[in-house]
Amino acid sequence: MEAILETRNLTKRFGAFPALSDVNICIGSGRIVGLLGANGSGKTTLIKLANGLLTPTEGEILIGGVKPGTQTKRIVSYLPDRTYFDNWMKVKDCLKLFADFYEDFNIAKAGDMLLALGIDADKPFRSLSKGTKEKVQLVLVMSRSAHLYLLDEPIGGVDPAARDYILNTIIRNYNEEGTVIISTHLIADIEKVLDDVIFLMNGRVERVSSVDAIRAASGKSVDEVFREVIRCEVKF
Amino acid sequence: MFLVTWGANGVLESGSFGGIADTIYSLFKGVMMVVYIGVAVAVVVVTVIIIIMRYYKMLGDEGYLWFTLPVTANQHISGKLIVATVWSIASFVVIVLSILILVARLGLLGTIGDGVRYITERGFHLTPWIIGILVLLLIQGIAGILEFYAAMSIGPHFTKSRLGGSVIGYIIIYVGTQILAAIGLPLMTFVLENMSSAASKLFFGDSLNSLEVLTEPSIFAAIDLIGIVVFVYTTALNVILCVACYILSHQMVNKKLNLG
Repeated sequence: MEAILETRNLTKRFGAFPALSDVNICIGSGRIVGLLGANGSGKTTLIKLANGLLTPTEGEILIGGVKPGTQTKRIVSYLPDRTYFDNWMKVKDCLKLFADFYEDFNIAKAGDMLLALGIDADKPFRSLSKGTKEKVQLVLVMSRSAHLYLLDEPIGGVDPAARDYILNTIIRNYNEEGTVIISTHLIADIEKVLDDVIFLMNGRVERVSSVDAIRAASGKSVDEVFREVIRCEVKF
Repeated sequence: MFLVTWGANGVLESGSFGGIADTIYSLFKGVMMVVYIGVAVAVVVVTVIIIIMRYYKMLGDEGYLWFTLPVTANQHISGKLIVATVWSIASFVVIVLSILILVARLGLLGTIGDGVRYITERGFHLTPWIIGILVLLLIQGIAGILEFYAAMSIGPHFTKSRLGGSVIGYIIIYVGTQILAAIGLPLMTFVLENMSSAASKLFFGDSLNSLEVLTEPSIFAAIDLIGIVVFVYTTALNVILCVACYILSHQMVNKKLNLG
């Protein structure tokens, strides 16, 4: 199995605080992976390192065998945990921007998705609600035929109906030869779509497993197993 | 800007009304000049703020968009630099044009033209001087922009506050530049002294004490020489500053990027 994302002794410290410690994971192609952990467990840090937005303190992270850079950014589609468009920009400006920079961006598909959502592409971002801005970002990210999708908390802070919509959008639109990594602490909502899970606890990898293996071994859902693991962490 | 210039010089060129009207007119004249200067300063300040904010935002939330595009650090920095330079040139042109309009409406263009004719007829190389000053302003402007970029790139590594760190970064770079200039100054003074003394001997011989020599074309040749030395020194200093700040910004964006 060729690794699309691999970390070797990856460590990231902010000052003296270790956000990630000695992380070693290897994720293959064609998988939907849940990056699961409580708030502050290092999920966002790991995703930002994969995008080259942070620099490792020690160790390395490889995307398709190379360190994050121009080459990897061509194949990674990233949904951050915040909105990044300036208010003066219009939705159609964003579509054009993505079409200009990403060869794998399907502008017709993005237009259709926006139309289905009833979002006017001529509107500037300042006139859109926070939820609508997030939907536009999701549309942009999922309109790419990427090798690796890094989705940071895509269902955090939205109502249950919107969660279903977001998950359906992801599942219907991702490039099936690529890998999707979804970071979240809302496990119950997404475990039905996951192939594998990575549990992060206090910046360390607690467990890497397939969802089927967890269910077969414990007879419980991933959410239940995760809660047990967290309880154990708290006790110690 | 042009509207205010038009208003200001319209008032300035008006005649006398006599009595209280003169007082009101003088007051209005003063107010218009203050408004004109205020708008000119505002143009410069807004330009600087836009230049700073465009880069500062790139290292903030907008960075989640820009730094995930398949674009190199060189392209990021040079793209921002080109746009910032164009903004600066546009502001400069607007201010120079407004001054020219004022001067023209006040009827001073003829006087300035006479002065220019007087010195050029006596051997002063006006065109090279204007080109030299414009080139120097351009390089100095670019150096100034890159100083801001470097400060915003290194600043956040010193403190937890991005803004505070950027200010500290700017102070460090500014002090560093002043030290560099102070080190280079004795060198320039030495070159200048030697060149000017050689030039005075070459052009004036032993007649330097005679005041008449000041009206001779040779004085302008000496000024040219001094100008060249000052130009080369200042340009060299600014080019060094540009290269250092660019490398610093590039290294920080390329190797040490840490978006909050």
